[in-house]
Amino acid sequence: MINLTTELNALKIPKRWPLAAKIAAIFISPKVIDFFLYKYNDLFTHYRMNVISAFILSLIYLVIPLCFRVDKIQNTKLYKNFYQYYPQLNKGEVNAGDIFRFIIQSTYLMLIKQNKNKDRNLKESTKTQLKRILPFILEKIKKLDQTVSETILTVLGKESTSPSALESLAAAKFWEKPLIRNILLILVLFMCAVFITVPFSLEAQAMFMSLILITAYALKGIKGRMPTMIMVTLSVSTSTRYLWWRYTETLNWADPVALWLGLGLLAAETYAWMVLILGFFQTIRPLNRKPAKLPKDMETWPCVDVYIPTYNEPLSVVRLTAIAATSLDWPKDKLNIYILDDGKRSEFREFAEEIGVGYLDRPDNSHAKAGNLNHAMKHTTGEYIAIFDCDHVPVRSFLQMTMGSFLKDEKVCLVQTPHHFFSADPFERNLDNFTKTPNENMLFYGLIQDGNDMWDATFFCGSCAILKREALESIGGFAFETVTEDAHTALRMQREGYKTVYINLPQAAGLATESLSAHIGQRIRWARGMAQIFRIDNPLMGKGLDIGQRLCYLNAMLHFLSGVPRIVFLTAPLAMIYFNAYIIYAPFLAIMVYVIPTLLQVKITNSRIQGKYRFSFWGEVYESVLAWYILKPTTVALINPNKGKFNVTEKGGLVEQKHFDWSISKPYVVLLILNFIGIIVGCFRLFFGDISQIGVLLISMAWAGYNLMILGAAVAVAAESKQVRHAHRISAKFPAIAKLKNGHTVKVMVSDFSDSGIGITTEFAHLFQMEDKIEIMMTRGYKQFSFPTYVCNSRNQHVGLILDDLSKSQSVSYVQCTFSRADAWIDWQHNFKHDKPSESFKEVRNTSIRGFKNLIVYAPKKVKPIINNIIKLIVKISSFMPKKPKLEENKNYG
Amino acid sequence: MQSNKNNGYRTHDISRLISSYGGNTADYIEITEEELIKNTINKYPLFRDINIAKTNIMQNIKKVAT
Amino acid sequence: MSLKRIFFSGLKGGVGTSSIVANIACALKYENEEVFAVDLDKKNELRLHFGMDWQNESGWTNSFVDQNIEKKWTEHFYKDSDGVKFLPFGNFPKMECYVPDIIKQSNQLSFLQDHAWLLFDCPSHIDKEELPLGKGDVLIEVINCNPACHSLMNVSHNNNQSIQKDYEHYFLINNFNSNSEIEVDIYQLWRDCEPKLAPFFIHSDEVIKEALAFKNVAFNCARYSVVIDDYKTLISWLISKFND
Repeated sequence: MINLTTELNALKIPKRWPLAAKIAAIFISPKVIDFFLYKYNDLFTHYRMNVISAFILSLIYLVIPLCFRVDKIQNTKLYKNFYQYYPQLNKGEVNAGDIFRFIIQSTYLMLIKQNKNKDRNLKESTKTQLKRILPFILEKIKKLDQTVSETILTVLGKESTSPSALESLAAAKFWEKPLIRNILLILVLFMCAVFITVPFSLEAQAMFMSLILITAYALKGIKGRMPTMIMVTLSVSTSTRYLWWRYTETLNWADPVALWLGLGLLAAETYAWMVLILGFFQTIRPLNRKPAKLPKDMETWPCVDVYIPTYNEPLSVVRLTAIAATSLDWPKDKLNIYILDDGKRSEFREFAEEIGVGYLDRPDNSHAKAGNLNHAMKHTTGEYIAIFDCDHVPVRSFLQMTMGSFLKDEKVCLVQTPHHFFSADPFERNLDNFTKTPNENMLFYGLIQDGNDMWDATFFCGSCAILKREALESIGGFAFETVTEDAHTALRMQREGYKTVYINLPQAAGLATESLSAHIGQRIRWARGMAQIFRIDNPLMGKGLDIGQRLCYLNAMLHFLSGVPRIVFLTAPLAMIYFNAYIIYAPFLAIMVYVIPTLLQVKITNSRIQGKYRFSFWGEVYESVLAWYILKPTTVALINPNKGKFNVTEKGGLVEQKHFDWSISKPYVVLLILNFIGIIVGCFRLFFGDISQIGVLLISMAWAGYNLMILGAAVAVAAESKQVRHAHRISAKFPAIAKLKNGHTVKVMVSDFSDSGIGITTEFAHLFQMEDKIEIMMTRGYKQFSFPTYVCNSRNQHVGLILDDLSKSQSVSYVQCTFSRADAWIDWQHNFKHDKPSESFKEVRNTSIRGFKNLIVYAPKKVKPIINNIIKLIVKISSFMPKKPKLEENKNYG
Repeated sequence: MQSNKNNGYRTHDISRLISSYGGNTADYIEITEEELIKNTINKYPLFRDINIAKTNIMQNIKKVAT
Repeated sequence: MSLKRIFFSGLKGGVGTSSIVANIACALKYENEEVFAVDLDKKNELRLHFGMDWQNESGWTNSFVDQNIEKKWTEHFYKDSDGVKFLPFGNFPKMECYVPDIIKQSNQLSFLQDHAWLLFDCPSHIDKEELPLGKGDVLIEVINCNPACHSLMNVSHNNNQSIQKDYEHYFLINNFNSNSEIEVDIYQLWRDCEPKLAPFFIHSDEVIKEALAFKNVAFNCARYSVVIDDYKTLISWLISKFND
């Protein structure tokens, strides 16, 4: 018998080793085992790793030096910045699975070139090789265009600073000639007919679409109407072509489920196509009308009544409007202001008397606002009637900017100006992008209404407008049969042959809806009203309207019918994933080649046309938020226009506490979950399902992922953030004078104002001490007014002032110097840069992530543990994903 | 030295508005409140007297002219 | 000769004429214009705004009897630290009767280059009718928004109503305080019924008084003050008057 102990002793194996180690020592050199054990103990005890990690890491320490030259490696950047290159791995820890992380990240690092972050020039450092290809081609094309035009110009002997060939072609004068335009039009129509209907092979379609996309990109930088026209034509032809293809080649007549679902999707897509085409028609050439001159002789100026209807809004809101109305620049003897109080409140009556305006109330409240206005018409006599919602504060130039259009053409019955908001609407407030992204309103007032004006189809929006009494009387007063009495009134007047005018200059500003539910309530009312109009007084039929007007009204109506199509789009990919229904019955490649380029092209064209007023992808978010809620009212109103009641939009309500509006967000959450589960199901099917379906599955999952993003953003809006102050701070930029305690004056700029205070900026903010009494002098025209204030805060170059008690006349003058300034709102559009689809996409994506976070943070208690576990799982999985290493120069602290 | 049309801090709100759309500032009429002027004159007895005297003189000049 | 002659005269004493002349002179110099300021007021105050030594009482009245006009002018000009050339009155108040002569002489001096500005600080008690102003000259009567000036304006109005003038005549409001109700009222009134009123005013600012105590002008002392803009506005407006 071999004595084990003596054998072990011979091998010089220490007794204290564990059995496993002793056995291993028989085969492997004890020195190695010793090293291994030493390392293991070190990691286990000192670094407190768990058994598995310590074991694996010790092995690694053992094996690596055998394969690699460790000393050489220690000098490389990789070693020194190891943890920067491998952000998933934590220093001092080894987790199970780290080896996979290591492998994945190494693969990533080898494939994709990393650049150091210099000067935060992220664009440069994040361009990966894959992304470079398309811009590379475009660069080449641009260079070619430049070199060609330069050579031509040098040959001709002209300056090479002229615009490139494409640009000159675009701006060339001969496009203006009608003959050329007509020839072009016919050519275009012919080509359209060909391109739309001729079936292409897949390769041909791919070529065709790439050509179109390249043209689109090439035209991106070139301004002017001609390129826009070209892009619109291309969009029209590609989208029509797409629709034709869908109708002729992608319906699966064999499978009834797929057929019906497919038809549903097709109907939604047809709707989208119609809205697109009509939209192009409507906005291709915004009229951008300028204010008309008034005659010099003020005796010829007509008499104007100003109506300020109110129902239950607080006096603090209405008084601003009333005071601003008194300072309209119009002969006092030709201006009559009336507060129309359906709330019959005595404080309003007293206030009206105080500032010298009229007060009207009526015995009943029939027909709400329209009834109120009609009643007022009986008791006033002005030739023209200006209407301001009680929170829409007009600037002093309102009448002089608008009345000229009436005097120029006596057929004009309405002059409408934009509704501008000085407070954030629920989207902007809850998503914190006030003044960073154009709000939902801006597309309509900035572009669509201007487009309507081109076709003489401007409609009345209920406020910030002037109407001709004669025209109103010819239709029997304000229409009250629908809940959008404003649009209906305009429609009736247009039928009588009157014209309407839109002046795209913001001359009044008001409060946006204060909560998401109020916002949705308002939109529901508009949707219902539009549907009622279509049933009661269909603009497509009946006398008095020309084709342009009818199409514009149709588009407005279609806009409110977006509920069903939007829900369809949000659920369509699930048909494939859950039911395996081929709603688009075409091979994967065909779908890729038809769908994606068309979508891209249309997006680019829309971005070009709407870019100043609406950033890409936000339209989908707004629609999704509303979709569920306008479904029912519009359908009900279309079927039975008389059902449903008029619910007034609240003005001036505060959001008391930060909370998540679960009741409002139920539909989005449901859709979100459906899509989320869909993606998971899709993943399973990818691995375990039919190989032939992988392509289509991937597309469906990508679509579902896009839906998730949109819905996430919609959910983000439902987290109502708290409104801190009731007095809205309005940003401004006009000069003022501050007089310090010591009698010195300082030139300052007013950067914001509210009805209780002013914020100023000055280099000399240090001269303003806390609690100092400061006189602020502001001008209105040539008049200068002085207001007592005191300093409430001061930092950097900004000083906050609070108004001391003002006398009555001082309050009036204050409004005149601030809210009533003629230039108060002219910057509204200029603050926005033009849309950049890729950046907008990132914005929406980030918003959507916020939305998901909100869901988790505000989740009901029962669900929280589940969600937490899911999150842990997701985090664990994502830790395996390759991450971009954070390579930064060593920062010096201190 | 050139005449500086934009008077720095005195930038007029009407001018800003009208130049934003390329219109002519001269077309805008700032409304003077005649009521207010009359009230001011009547508010201060000295001014009232001066005004009365001025009106008389104007009338006399007109009489002399005709 | 495109010498620009501007005569500043208070409608009554103490409205701040000298401070305006001194500040305008400084502002013009800041714009690299050649500026000459002449004090025609026996109070001899203008020199102090330019930082002249208080004990030095020389001025044009000291050597008026000299026959050589050029010499008379060139010998007694002083230059302040900004480069403004000014001619103080001197300490012979009785020589006030020669003010019209000085004015006439200024037209004949060759050393006054083209495009130079010649500012005159005239006393309020002198009858403006007696001054030999001619075509191309500008007379600015400095006023404050108070009832006394309102009264005076209408008095002088009466007198000048039917007299045709070669020179341009304006009223300029100084020391305007928009916190004062009566000043705002009077401004409103004048704006409406005084056609010769300049369409702006100089604000009241303590720094104007303080600057004199520091032997300087407000224009140099308070770069952030609104009166800087006011003086610049005045200059632009004057330029437009000369260009017409």
